[in-house]
Amino acid sequence: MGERIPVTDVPVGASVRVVEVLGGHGMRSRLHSIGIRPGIVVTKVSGFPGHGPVVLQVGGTQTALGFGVCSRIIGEATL
Amino acid sequence: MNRIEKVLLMGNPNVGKSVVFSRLTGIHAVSSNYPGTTVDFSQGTVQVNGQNATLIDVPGTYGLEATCKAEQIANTMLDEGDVVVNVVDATNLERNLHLTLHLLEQNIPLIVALNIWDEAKHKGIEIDVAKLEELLGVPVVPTAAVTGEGIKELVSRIPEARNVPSPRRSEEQRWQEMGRIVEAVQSVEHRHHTVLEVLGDISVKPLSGLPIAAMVMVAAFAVIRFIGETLVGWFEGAFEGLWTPLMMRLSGALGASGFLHDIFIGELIEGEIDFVQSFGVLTTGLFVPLAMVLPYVFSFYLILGVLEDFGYLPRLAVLLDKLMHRMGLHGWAIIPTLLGLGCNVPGIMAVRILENRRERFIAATIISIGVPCAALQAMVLDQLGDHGAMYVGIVYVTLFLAWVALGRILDAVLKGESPELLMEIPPYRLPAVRTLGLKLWRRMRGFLKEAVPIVLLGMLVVNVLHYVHVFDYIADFTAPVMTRLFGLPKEAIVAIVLGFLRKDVGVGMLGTLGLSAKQMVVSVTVLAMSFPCIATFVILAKELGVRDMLKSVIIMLAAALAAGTTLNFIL
Ligand SMILES: Nc1nc2c(ncn2[C@@H]2O[C@H](COP(=O)(O)OP(=O)(O)OP(=O)(O)O)[C@@H](O)[C@H]2O)c(=O)[nH]1
Repeated sequence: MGERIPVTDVPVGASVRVVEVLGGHGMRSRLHSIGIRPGIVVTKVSGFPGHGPVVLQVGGTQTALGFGVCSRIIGEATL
Repeated sequence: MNRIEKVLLMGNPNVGKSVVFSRLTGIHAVSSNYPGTTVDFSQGTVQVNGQNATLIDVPGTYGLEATCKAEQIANTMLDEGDVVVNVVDATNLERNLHLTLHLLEQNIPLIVALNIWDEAKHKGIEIDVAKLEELLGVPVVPTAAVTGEGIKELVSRIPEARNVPSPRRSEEQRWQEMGRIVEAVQSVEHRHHTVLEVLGDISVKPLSGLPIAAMVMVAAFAVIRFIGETLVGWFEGAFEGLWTPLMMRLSGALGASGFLHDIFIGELIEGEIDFVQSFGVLTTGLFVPLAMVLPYVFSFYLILGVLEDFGYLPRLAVLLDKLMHRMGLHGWAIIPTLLGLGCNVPGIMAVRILENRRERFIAATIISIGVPCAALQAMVLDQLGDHGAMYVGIVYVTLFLAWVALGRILDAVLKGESPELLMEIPPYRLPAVRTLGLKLWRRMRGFLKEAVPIVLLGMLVVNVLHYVHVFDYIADFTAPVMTRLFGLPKEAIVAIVLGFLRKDVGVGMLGTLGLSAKQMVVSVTVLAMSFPCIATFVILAKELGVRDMLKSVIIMLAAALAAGTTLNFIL
């Protein structure tokens, strides 16, 4: 089992398995419906410096997220 | 089966619903390669079993939990429909099935259109359609809406839509089910990234993305200008060759002066008609919208359409997200802003895609102040371009600074926070000529039908008022502001008031006053920033409510006053 880190701390190009999505119900269900939920593997495509947006590859789709939202997605290194 | 009266078209955002809609109905709904094109719903007619049924394009949703406005609308519409056509993106089956499962749990017959089938094949994604039908228990038809493939079959199978009683599942159960179905029906052939995918990735990374964005913007501007100028040249030639002789004859018939002559032909300049200076309804009134503005509207929307359908705009939104946050907005707001560069009306209508009232107020206000529409820009390029590119540059820089500064001020003054970006980035797609052409045609038709009559009417009213000297009173009244603060002749107010009808006509009027380059810069800037034109006014009131619209207008007047005065004193 790898260590748990927020997806914002994942290096660009790396993949993690989502283990938890923090935050209120509304935010969680918005993320869930676009496919970001526990068990899913996400790859960080791009991250902007200075708490800028992050782009994640989730399945066949790319999604851009604000830094704050993204920091609430907790991932674990895939083996 | 009962008669089908209402067919609902539902699906995730950006799955091609609008294209399917236009295929089914023959009506052209606006499609763009970014999520959220269908903010309003459109309605059309489709033939089912030889009978007319109403087809409703429901806003795109990921689920039915009613977590956002689109989902609430979708929920209420479900109660009224007889059949749902669920448009599914075949390149993204798993995620799209979330909504499909939700729909299956509703008490309504369902049929699935497995759209973007062409691209799925291309990407090496294989889906066993028969198996999917079996697992879902409803008809599944592969379609490629852009080419029309599968649309006939889809229509003919609408009556087969079924309502399979399925229990309400928990989210957890839905995910398991989605995984199970995809496992059973889909196989993905491993293949290398396509050029478009590689390009897509490098254009959202900061180091490569920002230079690309700068190049795209410069190239877009250059191409728009090139096409615009080329067309203006042709149209001018056509006017001089075909219209001038006719108008000269009319001028002669009217006796070269007098009331009717002044209104329809305008003033003869050294015995000749000057399409820019004469200012008659049939001379300048036709020349400005058709020969000067139309070419630019055309080339702007052509390039915007290519960028939209290629899928570039969401990437630009990501790149500019940080900048937009400083103005209380997020990256998404760049899309209404770019639309505003064509015409402020669709730009302000598009602020609806922003989450809260504060954001919508900021975006709408700074668009109407700092974003010049294509018609205004075409006239500015023409009238100021003769004095030198530097002056055109000053106007653009001033407007840009005003846009940023006001955004920052409003962000600091207004209570509340700016929400965060959460946006799907579609893959790059080569634009389909047909959808591109239809969209361009629709936008051009909009311009011809809405702008041209207002220009003609505006010129008529102005010429009549001019004839009876009404403007002299207004000019005297506002003279202190015009002359002392802006350094303009007092008559310039007429052009600025005229800008309330159409900004392009306002600039045209300024062109008849014999202003110096500096005066032109000041007056054009004030014209651009002050009152929005009447069409924008109406839309502002509709989108923001009358109170917020009035606030917005006060900000505009203050900003225009400040910018005009500053330019006058520093230039
Ligand atoms: N290759 C391919 N592209 C398609 C197909 N259908 C639609 N598209 C493209 O997909 C993009 C999105 O289409 P829209 O019709 O705007 O999507 P929508 O579902 O109406 O989107 P919203 O209005 O945002 O919900 C456009 O660029 C279309 O040209 C298809 O069958 N194949």
